[in-house]
Amino acid sequence: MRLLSHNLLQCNVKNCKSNNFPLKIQVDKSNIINCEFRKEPLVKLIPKLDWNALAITVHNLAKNKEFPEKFSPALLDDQKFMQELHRILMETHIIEGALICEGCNKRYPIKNGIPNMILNDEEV
Amino acid sequence: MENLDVVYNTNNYLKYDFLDYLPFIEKGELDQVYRPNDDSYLMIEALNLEAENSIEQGALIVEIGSGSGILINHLVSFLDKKNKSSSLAIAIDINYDANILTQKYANHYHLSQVECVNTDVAEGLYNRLKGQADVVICNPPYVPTEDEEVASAYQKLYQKDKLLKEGKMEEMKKINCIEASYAGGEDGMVVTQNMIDTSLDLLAPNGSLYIFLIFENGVESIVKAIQQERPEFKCQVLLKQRKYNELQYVLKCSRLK
Repeated sequence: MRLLSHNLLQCNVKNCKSNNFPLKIQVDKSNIINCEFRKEPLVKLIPKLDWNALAITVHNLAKNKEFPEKFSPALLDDQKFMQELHRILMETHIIEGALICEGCNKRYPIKNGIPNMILNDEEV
Repeated sequence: MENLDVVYNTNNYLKYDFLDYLPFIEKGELDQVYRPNDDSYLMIEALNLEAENSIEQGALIVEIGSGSGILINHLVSFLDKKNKSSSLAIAIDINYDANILTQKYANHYHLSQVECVNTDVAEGLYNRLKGQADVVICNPPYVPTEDEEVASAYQKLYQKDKLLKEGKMEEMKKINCIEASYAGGEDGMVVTQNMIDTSLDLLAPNGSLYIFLIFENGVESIVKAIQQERPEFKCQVLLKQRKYNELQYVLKCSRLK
């Protein structure tokens, strides 16, 4: 699971309405896997990100203490920053671990890089 | 259907760059997911045409029920080759083995945009993806069956999921959930309807759903219902073919601006 996907995952347990995003990440095994940097698709992705959630996650994972809390258009022209954003979103993989909802404590396991968001009967 | 013209003429021979899944598949891996068939190839043909004619650069792609991953991996590859690379391609499946295979397929062909999520339709992704997907792909469980077959298929899926979460991998491997990939209940629409409704919700302005359907699903009624209840969408039949006893369609539903 790349950190990009994490930005799209929210707890969907019945009645869990607050503190359900972003999910806290328990990292048992992670990896940086290089892949091709493509600027235009990355630029198109930015409006779809929840930047605040991304900043919180990056800080919590100690991936980059200087990661900006707010997005500004000037960042798009900062080549070094865009490469760093690519590294965070596209190259940082959580292979084993879990996603934990801070609102209801539901634990979503991550196995072989695949997050499992399936709920039990009672939770639907 | 008199009022729905078919946009493209199908070529029954392959005219696209086929990403062969055989080189890396292990024995038994294809037993757990839907084995690609004529429906898959008709969808790939449609996606190839749309990658050329319609889909723009940087698309956020979602597939609901990716199975082996053949559809989403081909679309990502087509777009890469046409220099219109997608930004992210989320392959969703309720069957863990489908996720594993899709990921393996994507890794083999270095399709770095592909991400796999193990969930039911779009649970856990819905709130963040609503109105954000430029492309949604779906080859649903379209075969008309008894409703019980759907219920038993899902029972097996949840059993498999439970064993997976308990770490009982050997026991998990013994449960075969292949029925869930095709069992559609009455008119083949019991699961399909939910997939259509959810897919339309996920579409961004100018985004399109590409869905495989057969005549028995009541394609005309589906289109009529969308036109009446959700007039912000436009429907077109992209491809149509008769294979054995199935009249097959690829339907495109686009969210107008």
